[in-house]
Amino acid sequence: MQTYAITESELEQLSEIFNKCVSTRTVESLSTMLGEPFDYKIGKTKMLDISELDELTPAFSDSVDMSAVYLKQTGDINVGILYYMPEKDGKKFAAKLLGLKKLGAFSKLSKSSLSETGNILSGSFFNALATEKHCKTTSDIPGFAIDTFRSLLEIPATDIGIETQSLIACDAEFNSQSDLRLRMLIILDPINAKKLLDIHS
Amino acid sequence: MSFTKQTQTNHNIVEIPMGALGFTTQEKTLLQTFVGSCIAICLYDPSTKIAAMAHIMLPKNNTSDPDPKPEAKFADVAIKIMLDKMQVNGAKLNRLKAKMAGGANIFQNEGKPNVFNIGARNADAIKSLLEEKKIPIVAQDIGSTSGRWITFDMSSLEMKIKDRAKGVTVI
Repeated sequence: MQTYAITESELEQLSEIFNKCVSTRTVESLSTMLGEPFDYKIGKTKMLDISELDELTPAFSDSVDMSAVYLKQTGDINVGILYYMPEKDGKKFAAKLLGLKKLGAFSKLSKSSLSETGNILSGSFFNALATEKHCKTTSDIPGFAIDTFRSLLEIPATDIGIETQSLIACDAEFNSQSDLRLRMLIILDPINAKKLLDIHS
Repeated sequence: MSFTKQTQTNHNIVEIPMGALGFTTQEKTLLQTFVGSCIAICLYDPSTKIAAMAHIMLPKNNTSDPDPKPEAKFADVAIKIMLDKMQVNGAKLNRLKAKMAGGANIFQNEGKPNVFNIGARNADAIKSLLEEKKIPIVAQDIGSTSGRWITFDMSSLEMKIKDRAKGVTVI
């Protein structure tokens, strides 16, 4: 079987690249959009087989529904990003975006507002990723879903891992003073991870 | 309805992880897995009471390895292994029947509903493979927009599906 080896050192380099992009652009975009400062923390970058998705889900049980937006950036580098948060937090988030005190159920507009947030955050993230590196990418239409985290993960995993069956994944978490919380899972395959490392070398 | 897996207090369930497959035994007559866009395919021989379930992630083995792991990641490899092992254990190809569920289109895109259609592609691949072997799909629950818990009971030959949107159905 063809293997796509990524060393520990390369995973650390990827973490540094993701950290830089999130800290310089994504946090700023999020804070501007929501009108309040956000803190963030970013996890270790891991490599796993697409059948090992449970390694990405330790914090959630199968009974918690998540609201999520998935989009993929394609071009010189292909990267998928899954934004997710518990459904109740998603409603808080959407209410704030729409200038409402509370959101009962997700409406078409509120789903759209979260999808657009994913679009904007990804735009800022990919701008940082490609800055001055002549890396051209275009963004797919974001998809919105409410489901368990495990269910949500299958699409990005198979979408990104279809060629290599391996995933490079890095999770970032954003928190605001008013307790808005959002998580961002960056996923790419090893081939694109190597391309990203080359671009940033 | 609580969207959790089959809550059996006894130990007669074979849990099938992502990309894996499992077989019933005399002691363990229930096969169970969770699928979102992936597909749970169950093959069974009603006469010998032998059943297998696979959690299929992708339509076709695109690697140079003829025996990729886990065994049921690809539809073509999974079906072949299921058939080989079931026949070794006494099942007859001409008696086999199939039930399948999953292939959800979890993410909804405004104006572009089928952009992530891996579920439909998996289902099509499985249908073609079973058609080649003349194995009838006697029941299926493909599509939807939610993940599902799937349990196949060898004693009743029923497949129970827990879907967060549709509730419990039995096929």
